[in-house]
Amino acid sequence: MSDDVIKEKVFRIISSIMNVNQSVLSEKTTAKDVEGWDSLKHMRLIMALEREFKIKFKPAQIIGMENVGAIINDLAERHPAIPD
Amino acid sequence: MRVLVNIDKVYETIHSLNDEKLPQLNITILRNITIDPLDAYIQYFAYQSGFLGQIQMGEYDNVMQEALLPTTEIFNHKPDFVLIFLKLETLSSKLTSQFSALSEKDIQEEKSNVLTYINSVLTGIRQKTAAPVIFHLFEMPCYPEMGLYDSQRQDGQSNTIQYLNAEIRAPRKNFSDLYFVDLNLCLMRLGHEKFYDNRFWFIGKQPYSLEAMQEIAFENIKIIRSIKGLTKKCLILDCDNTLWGGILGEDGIDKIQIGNVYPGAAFKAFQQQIINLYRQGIIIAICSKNNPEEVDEVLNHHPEMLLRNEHIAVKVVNWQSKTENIQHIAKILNIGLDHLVFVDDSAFEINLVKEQLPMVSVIQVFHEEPENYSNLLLSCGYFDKLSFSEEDKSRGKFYVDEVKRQKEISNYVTLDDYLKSLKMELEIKDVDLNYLARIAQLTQRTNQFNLTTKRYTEDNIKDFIAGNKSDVLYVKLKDKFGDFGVIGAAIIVYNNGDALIDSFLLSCRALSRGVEDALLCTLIKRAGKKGCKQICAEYIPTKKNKQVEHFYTDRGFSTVDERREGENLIYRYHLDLSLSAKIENKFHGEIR
Repeated sequence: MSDDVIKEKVFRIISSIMNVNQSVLSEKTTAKDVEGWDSLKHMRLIMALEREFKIKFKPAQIIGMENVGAIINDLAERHPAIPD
Repeated sequence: MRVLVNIDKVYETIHSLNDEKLPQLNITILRNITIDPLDAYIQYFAYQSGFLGQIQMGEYDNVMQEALLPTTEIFNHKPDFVLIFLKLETLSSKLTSQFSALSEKDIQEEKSNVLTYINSVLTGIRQKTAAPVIFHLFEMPCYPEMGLYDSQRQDGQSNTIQYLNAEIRAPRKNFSDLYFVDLNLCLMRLGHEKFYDNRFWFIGKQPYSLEAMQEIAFENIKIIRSIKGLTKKCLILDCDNTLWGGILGEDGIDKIQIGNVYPGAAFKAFQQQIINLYRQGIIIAICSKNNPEEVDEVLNHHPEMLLRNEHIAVKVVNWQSKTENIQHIAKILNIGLDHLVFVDDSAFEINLVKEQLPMVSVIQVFHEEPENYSNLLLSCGYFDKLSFSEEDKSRGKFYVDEVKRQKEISNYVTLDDYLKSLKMELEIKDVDLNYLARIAQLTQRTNQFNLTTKRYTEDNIKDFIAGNKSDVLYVKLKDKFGDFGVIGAAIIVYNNGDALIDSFLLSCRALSRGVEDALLCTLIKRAGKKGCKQICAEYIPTKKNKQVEHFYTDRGFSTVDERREGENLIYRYHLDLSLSAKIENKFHGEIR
């Protein structure tokens, strides 16, 4: 999966769970920047990402995610892009 | 068996619901754990059943306060349902994680603490709302603390929890409309590994996985559907590769797969499941593209078939389109399309019905996996009910008889002659406590011949029959073909010399026989005896009860006014009791 595809999917999932427009999101966005991104919504997000990417985060990662970019990087490492 | 609904799709669906004009369903959830996004799944399934779910989520581990304190706001939204999630781990760590340290006396004490707590919560809730309460029973430990030893003991941890679940379900005086979700069933279906997610339990006191929450939400929706009268009534089955393996027209009666070896054994098990539904009052119909004589040959003579003609109310075997045939079946049975479930292995037929008759529920079975048919059918929960009455027991057979009755109509010159020939016996009497369940069920399930469509619980009916301010009458019908049981009811309320017909309803099985006139005449006589000068009545239109819109005006009532109450338009009529002689009792038979 290419990084762009991952990025697009992550943004889409965050926007649907936090019920915010994708345009307010960037890789530097943290939970604090988004209204309603509390610990509950965070668990929702983790569950949705795990479904989408068919992976399982370690608990330490779940509580340690710095910002949206960190999530994307982690997923990119797990899903290395296959060269065309 | 059900696939996990993509959670993205769940959120998208529920975020787009704001403009939908659907009846609201207010659900209050009390909990001592985190259960997110259970609310999203409930809203999603509620929407699929035609409701706009509004969830009031109680604060984490605040159940007792919310149930007892007069200041809690959580019940201010007039809940239609209250869901209680009390996880035993939070309620009693002694029983769940320190069981091996407990003496016999400690165990007794802790059991009684838990039960007392639950009783207080339930009592508190009942003082705040009469809404049905759905209680989630305790899960059994997958690994009891004392391992194997626990299984050898009568008083071990597992049995203690089982005891609690049994005690909670013991009948309660003065407390009806309490229902249970056995979380152990959800747990068994998914398996321990898939049901729990310990990461979220330790991070945020959230025990269940997404899959588990979907399963739990669906279990609740099944209860809600049943209370709202949305239980399906008729199962329509295709034949080839659905009831048996193979194609009858090509393989012949000797080669179709049904019997005691695979795959025939799996089809036979599915047929057993269908017969079990028939015994619970589900109407069975067949809709198949085949030569009718050949299907009859199988139903009558194939030695391995379990399903026989005696179980089948309507058989439509021809080469016409299945959508036409399904409509035909609904018409013969006189039930709505939305009460039908259609099962077929052909994607073509399933999609055609889905597209052209979206009200019909469909299940596609996969003929390479007949071993899954039964669970697939059961996992949809379309026929799940919360109670089981005498009427349910014989309903499947009733419809088989009913179709015979209709065939006999054509032998008579007029309908009156036919009705006379039926030798009907009607019993219209006051409801006593034995009839509460059936009358409540009728108010919840009757849609077409129902003047006001007011849904009542057993408690409501009990209130109506207590005192002398109102009467509840039931209608029982018999004819030469069989016993219908209780097929109608009316509630009449007296107030200062006026009588008001609060509810007036008949099961669609009893229509076109003059029963409605007999019931109305009885109500009028009753009002006269009570010294009423006039009798008032109402008609509240719904999508389904158009057939009764002129019921009262056709019988000499005059229209008083119409008014709007919330979503309902209410037409009001009245009849001066001195003129009531005009109402003709068209019932041909004996009335007791």
